[in-house]
Amino acid sequence: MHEPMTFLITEEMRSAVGSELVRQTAPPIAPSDVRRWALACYYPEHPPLRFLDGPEQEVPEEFNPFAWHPAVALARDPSMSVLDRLESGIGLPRVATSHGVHGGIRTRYLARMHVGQVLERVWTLEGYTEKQGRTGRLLFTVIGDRWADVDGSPVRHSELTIVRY
Amino acid sequence: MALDLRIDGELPAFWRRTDFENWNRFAAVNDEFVAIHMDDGAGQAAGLPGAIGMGNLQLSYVHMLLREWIGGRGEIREVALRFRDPNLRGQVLHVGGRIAAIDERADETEVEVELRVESDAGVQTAMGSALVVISASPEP
Repeated sequence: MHEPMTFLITEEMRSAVGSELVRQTAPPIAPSDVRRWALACYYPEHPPLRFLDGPEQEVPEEFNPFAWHPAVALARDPSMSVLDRLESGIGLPRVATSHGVHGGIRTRYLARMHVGQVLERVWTLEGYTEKQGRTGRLLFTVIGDRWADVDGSPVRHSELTIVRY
Repeated sequence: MALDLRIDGELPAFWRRTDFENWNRFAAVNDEFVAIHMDDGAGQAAGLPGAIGMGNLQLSYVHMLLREWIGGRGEIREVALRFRDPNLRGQVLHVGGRIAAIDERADETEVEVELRVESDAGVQTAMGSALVVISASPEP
C-alpha cells in the first residue's frame, strides 16, 4: 500500500514509536496539594469539602500528582517544549515545528487515588500523524500515559494528543 | 433522590468566566506555566488571537460536571475530551453533558454522556464523552 507523503514525520520518528519517553515516581500525594488543586479548579466557587481536609479527604479523579515533579521542573529549558525535550532524550532530532497545543486526552480510571499514595508513571510514544492545516502542516503526537501504584496495581491509563505546528 | 436517567437527559450545567485569574491558579497547581497561557503576545506569536486557557482546566471542568451529577452514587470510569477552538480571555464557558446511552446491568448502570464546553457565542472549545457507572446500591 502506498504510504502518504509526510513532511514532518521522519523515518527516525517512525522507528521510535513504542519507545519509553519517561518513567517517574511522584512524591506521596499530600493533603495540601489536593486542597490547592481543588481550590484552583473550582475557583471562583468553593470546592466540595471532601477535597479540602479531614481524615477522609478525597482526591479528584483528574488530580495530577506528578505536577512539579523535580525531574521536570529542574530540567526546564525555555527554548523547548516538554515533548521536544522528551523526544531529544531518546535521540530524536527536534521536529520542524515552532508551537504546540494540547489536542485532547482519553483516560480510563482503574482505581481512585488517595492521600499518601505513591504513584509511578510511564510515558510511551504511541504514534505520529500529520495533516495539512489552514496555515501549514500539523503534527499529531500520541503519548501513552500509564499510572500505577508502587505496588503495581493500575490506577489510570491515558492517551494524550499533542498538536504541533 | 435517584438520578433521572433517560436518553437525551441533560446534566446540570454550569458556567465559568475564564481569564488569567482562573488560568494562573491552575498553572500554579499543575505546573503549567506556558507562555501562551500567560501572555497575549505569546499567544499571538503562536498564531492564536491571544493568550488561551489550558485544556487541562477544561478537563477538570467536565470532571466537576460529572461529579456533581453523580453525587456519590457511582463513579467516573472514562473521560475523553478533544480540544477545538481556543478558550480566550474573558470567555464565559458553559460546561454541559447529555445522556447518550444507558446500559442497565444487575448491579450497576453504565451511562454514556456526551460532553461539551462552549462559549456564550456558541464556539465549542471542547467536546467529548464520558462513561459513568451508577451503583445499584441504596442512596448515599
